[in-house]
Order: sequence, then structure tokens, then C-alpha cells
Amino acid sequence: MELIRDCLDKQLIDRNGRKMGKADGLVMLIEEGKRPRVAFIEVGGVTQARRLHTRLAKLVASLSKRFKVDESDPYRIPWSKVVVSGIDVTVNVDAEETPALAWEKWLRKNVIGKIPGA
Amino acid sequence: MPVMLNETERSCAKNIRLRLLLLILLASLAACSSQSPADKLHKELRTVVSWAATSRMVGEALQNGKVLQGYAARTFEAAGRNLQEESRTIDKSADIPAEERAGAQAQIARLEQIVGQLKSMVEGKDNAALSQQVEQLKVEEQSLKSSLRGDSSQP
Amino acid sequence: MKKALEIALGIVTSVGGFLEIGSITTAAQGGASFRFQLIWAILLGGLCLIFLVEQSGRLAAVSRHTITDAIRERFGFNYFIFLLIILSLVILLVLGAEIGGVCVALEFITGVGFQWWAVPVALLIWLIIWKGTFSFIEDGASILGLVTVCFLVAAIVLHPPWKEVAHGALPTLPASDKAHYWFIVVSILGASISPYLMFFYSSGAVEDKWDESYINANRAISVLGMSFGTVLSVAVLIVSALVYLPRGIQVEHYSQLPLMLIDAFGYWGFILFAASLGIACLGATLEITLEIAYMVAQGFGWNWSENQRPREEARFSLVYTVIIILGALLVVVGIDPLKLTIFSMALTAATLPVAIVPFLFLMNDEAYMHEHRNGFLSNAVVIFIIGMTFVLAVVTIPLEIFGGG
Repeated sequence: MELIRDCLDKQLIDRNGRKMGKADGLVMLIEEGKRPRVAFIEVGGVTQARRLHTRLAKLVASLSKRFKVDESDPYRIPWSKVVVSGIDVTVNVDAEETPALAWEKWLRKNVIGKIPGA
Repeated sequence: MPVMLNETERSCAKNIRLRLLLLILLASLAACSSQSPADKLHKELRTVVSWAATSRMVGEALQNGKVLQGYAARTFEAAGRNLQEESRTIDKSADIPAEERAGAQAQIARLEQIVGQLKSMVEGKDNAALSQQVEQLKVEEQSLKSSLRGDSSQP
Repeated sequence: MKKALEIALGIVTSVGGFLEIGSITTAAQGGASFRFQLIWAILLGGLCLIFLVEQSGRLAAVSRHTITDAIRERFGFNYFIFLLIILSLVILLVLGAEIGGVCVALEFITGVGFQWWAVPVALLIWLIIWKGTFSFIEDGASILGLVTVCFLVAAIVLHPPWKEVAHGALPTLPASDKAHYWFIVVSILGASISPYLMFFYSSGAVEDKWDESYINANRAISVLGMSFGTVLSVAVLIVSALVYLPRGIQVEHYSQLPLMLIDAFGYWGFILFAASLGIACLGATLEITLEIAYMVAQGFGWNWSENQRPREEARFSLVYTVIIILGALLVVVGIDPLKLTIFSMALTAATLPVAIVPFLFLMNDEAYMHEHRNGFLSNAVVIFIIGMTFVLAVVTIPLEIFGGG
């Protein structure tokens, strides 16, 4: 399987059929004598920003910490929970329980949720 | 080191060639755009005629109750503004003979006056005197149009 | 039977939603300056749009992914960001022009300056998107938009010399004002082939949950809908040619536009124009706002759907709120709506390659299209469009300077 072509940037869908971002990065495990393999799929703004420029990644990380949106490092999904099917990537997690929706939840609570009719 | 020097030299030459190309392009574009003074005056006068005709059409429509007062007032205002703008443009064009410039500006001034009157009449809801002003507009408009036609038949 | 109804609705919504300030203004300028000579440009734009829209629909139906999804997935995050920035900037200008169009329509009716309407109109747009569902917005705006059929009626009522009109369908060179002529050609093409139309069509297809069984319906809707819409644009040009040109009125200011329908319908022509402009532009603002927000959401992989409550897609809701504010800002500061329209249409033409080149690859990608990849004709047309848009991209700026009036 061609990782870049089949996995990177593909739509991630959680176990409930909900969209939870795209595969923003892949974390490889390189061991002596073994073929390199994918250990994790990485999701999140920091990873996205890093693909553009490292300084941008630092900015996004500091914004995230400043607003207490998501204190953790980029969210990583273990490869064991991943199923690549066609042009989508199904992930055996519940999106609501992962940090992938950190900004979504923060906005829901602090901004959008406060507007009438939401 | 010989390799690096060559690269610097090459990029330098490329820069010069690029700048020369840009210069030629700009010069040719400038040359293409330069209109004769007669053409320039003609173009500005067409805009003046356009606004005169617009004002006349609005005036006539207003008389026949085909447009709303508010719209008419704002259109006469826009016409006045644009006519003023045209007058300024013609004034700034030093390559147009002074006599022609003065003639055009006089015509524009007359139009501005009529349009201004129309605007106050509409705002004051005084539609009775409209027809007279609209007639005057027609006269000015026709004279401008015939002078434009005369211009374009000249070499 | 159900499919037939859907096709009918699809065609109706395409027609009702076709005209907006760009197509109206560019067609009006074309008619006022060059009589029927520019009809070919509108037809060319319409034809290109038909092919692009049909393909967008096919992509969405077969892959269940939108164009934006597919571009990120196939070309990577960096290209997506590049595309997003360029398209968003240009489409934002178009949004400003459309909001301006609604405000100008209100100015015609009330006499109150268009800038004052920017905030209330923005609020209206926001409310409709906040509370409405996709079909409500899309169908509602487009059915109301059928008022624009009045242009076709006007064109017929004014008895144009139909032979001359038919001649206009073939490209001819102008006797004078060549720069102005080609500038209007570029703006007409930019107004017809707007990227947001293709992108929105694919988003809509996914929202409506199209699948492979919709391929023929898609073909019918795109061909018939866009064709009838193009006829409306041609009608605007014909009316303008008959109303403005004989009087020597150049369409250089928005206040000259409502005069268009007075010859045909008298007072009701004035009202119909204001209603048509207002409704058509309102529909366009809704589509454009949603599409920019869709592009952001789809590219980043968020949950997106107009049919969900705002709290369930907080990021999507935030994005479209910001977009509306930015669009309205362009009108509040008083940028002339007509000038903004013409400028943004020309700029649209210039930035088309950025979206259409990757699109060509997608339409031939087996992973997305399965056995419904582009045939020879579809590919040939897209390649032609790419070539044409590269030419447009190069000539737009010089023409803007020398032919922009």
C-alpha cells in the first residue's frame, strides 16, 4: 500500500460514521533490520501548520495552549485502529472522545453555543 | 569556485534580460495606450452624452410615473457627480486644444445645471416644472451627439 | 417518478439561481456597447460551465466526495491551502459584489443609499444560513429567482431583429474599441465560469446524498439547467442592446441598470428589475458564503452540513459568520458595487486554472470515478478551458488597465 497516496490527507471517519478531520500526518516507526512502518496517523492543526512552516506550527501550538483548547501534543491514532477502504480511512474510535474535536468543542462551549438558536 | 561564479553570472544576466523585457513590454503597452487628443476628447464626451441620456430617460420616466422619486433623485445626483468628474478629466488633458476643452466644459456645465435643477425638483416633489428641464436636456443631448458624429467623420 | 421530479426541481433551481450581479452587469455592458456582437461570449461561457458542472456532479455522485475533499486528498494539504487562499480572496470580492447587488436593489426601491443596507442584509444572510437547511436555502432562493425570467419576456416583447441576434452567436471582431471589447469578453467569461458554481454544485450533490444512480439525472440537470440559465443572460444582453445603445447610454453606473426593463414593462419593469437583482444576488450570496465555508470545512475534514444545527458544527458556523462580515465590510466602506463586480469577474477568470487543472486529474482518477471517468470529449473541453483560462489570466491585467472603461 502506498502510504502517501492511500493514507495521507484522506478523510478520517470514526466508528459512528462522523467525519473527524483528514490524516494530517503519518508517524513512521523505523527499526533496525525491519521495514519502516506506520505507527500512527497524526491529526490536528499543529501537524497541518508544520507542513506549511515550522514557525507556523509553533504559533498554532501556543494559541492552543493559551486558550486552553488542547494541552496535549498532536493527536495520534494508533495504526491498529485504522482501516483504509477506498478513498476514506475508517478509524475505530469515537470522534467526540478524542482531542481531534478539541477546537470544535471549545467553540461550541464558548462562542457558538452562546448565540441564540444554535 | 568556478561553478558558483558561473551560477551567479548566469542569474545576473537573467535578471538583466528580464528587466529589459519588462521595460520593452511596458513601453509598448504605453505606446499602444496613447490616444490622440481627438480620440480622448471623443471618449470623454461619449461618457457625458451617456449621462445626459440617462438623466433624460429618468426624467421622462419620472414624468410618466415609471420610476420612484427616491431613485430618480439619487440618479440625478450620480449624474451630477460624474459630469463634474468628466469636466475635471477634460480640464487635466493638456494635449486637447484649449478651445475644444473650453467648449466641452461649457456644455458639461450647462448639463450639470439642468441635472442639479432636476434633482432639487424631485427632492422638493415639484414635478410640474420637470418637463421644461427634460426638454432642455434633450436639446443639449442632441447638440452633443451631433458634434460627436461630426468629430468622427473628420480624419 | 421521484427521480423525474428531482430532475425537474434541479433544472428549475439551476435556472432560478443562474443570474446574479456579475452575469447581469457584464451582459448589460456587452449589449450597451456592442449590440449583439458579444452573444457568442455568453454562449461560450455557458457551454464551458455546462461541462464543468456536469463533471462536478458526476464526481460527487460517484465518489461521494466534493471537489475540495478530493483536491486535498489527492494533491495534499499544501496545495489545498494555496487553492483556498487564492479562491477565497477572489470569491470574497465576488461576495462583496453580490451583497452590494442586494443593497443596490434596496436602494432603488427605498432611495436609501446602498451602504446603509449592508448590515441589515448581512444579518439576513446570516440568519438564513444559521436557521435554514440546505434544501430550504437552495430551493427557496432559486424558486424565487425565477422572477429573472422577466428578462426573457422583455427580450421577446421588445421585438429584436432575431436574424441579427443569431449572427451574434458567432464571434466577430469589433470595428472600434477593441480593448474594451475584449475586456468585456473576459468579464463575461469570468461571470459565467465562476469556480464557486462548480464547487457549490458538488457540495450540494453530497448534501443531497447523490449516488451513482444520479448520473443521468445529473446530466439532465446540468445541461438543461445551465442552458436555460445561459438563455437568460443572453436575454439581458438583448434587452440592453435595444434599450441603452440607441440612447447612447454606456452602462457605467449601477443607477443606469433599472432603466433596462422600463421600455418593456413601464413602472413594473422598474420594480421587476429591482426584485430580480435583489433576489438573484441574495441567492448568490447564500451560495458563495456557504461554498467558502464548505471549502474550509471540507479541506480540513470537519463535519459539515447545512442540515445540522450550528452547535454541532461550531467551526463551520464560525467560518461562515466571519465570511459574511468580511463581505459586508466591502459594501459598508462604500466600494462601488458595479466597479467591484466587473473587477471581481475579471479576476475570477484569471484564477480559474488553479481550480480546473487539478479538477482535470480528478475526473480521470479511477479511485474517485471508477468506471465513470471522463471520456475524450469531456477531457478535450476541460483542456480547452484550461488553455483559455491561462490566456485570460495573462491578458486580464493589461485589459483591465486599457479596456476597463
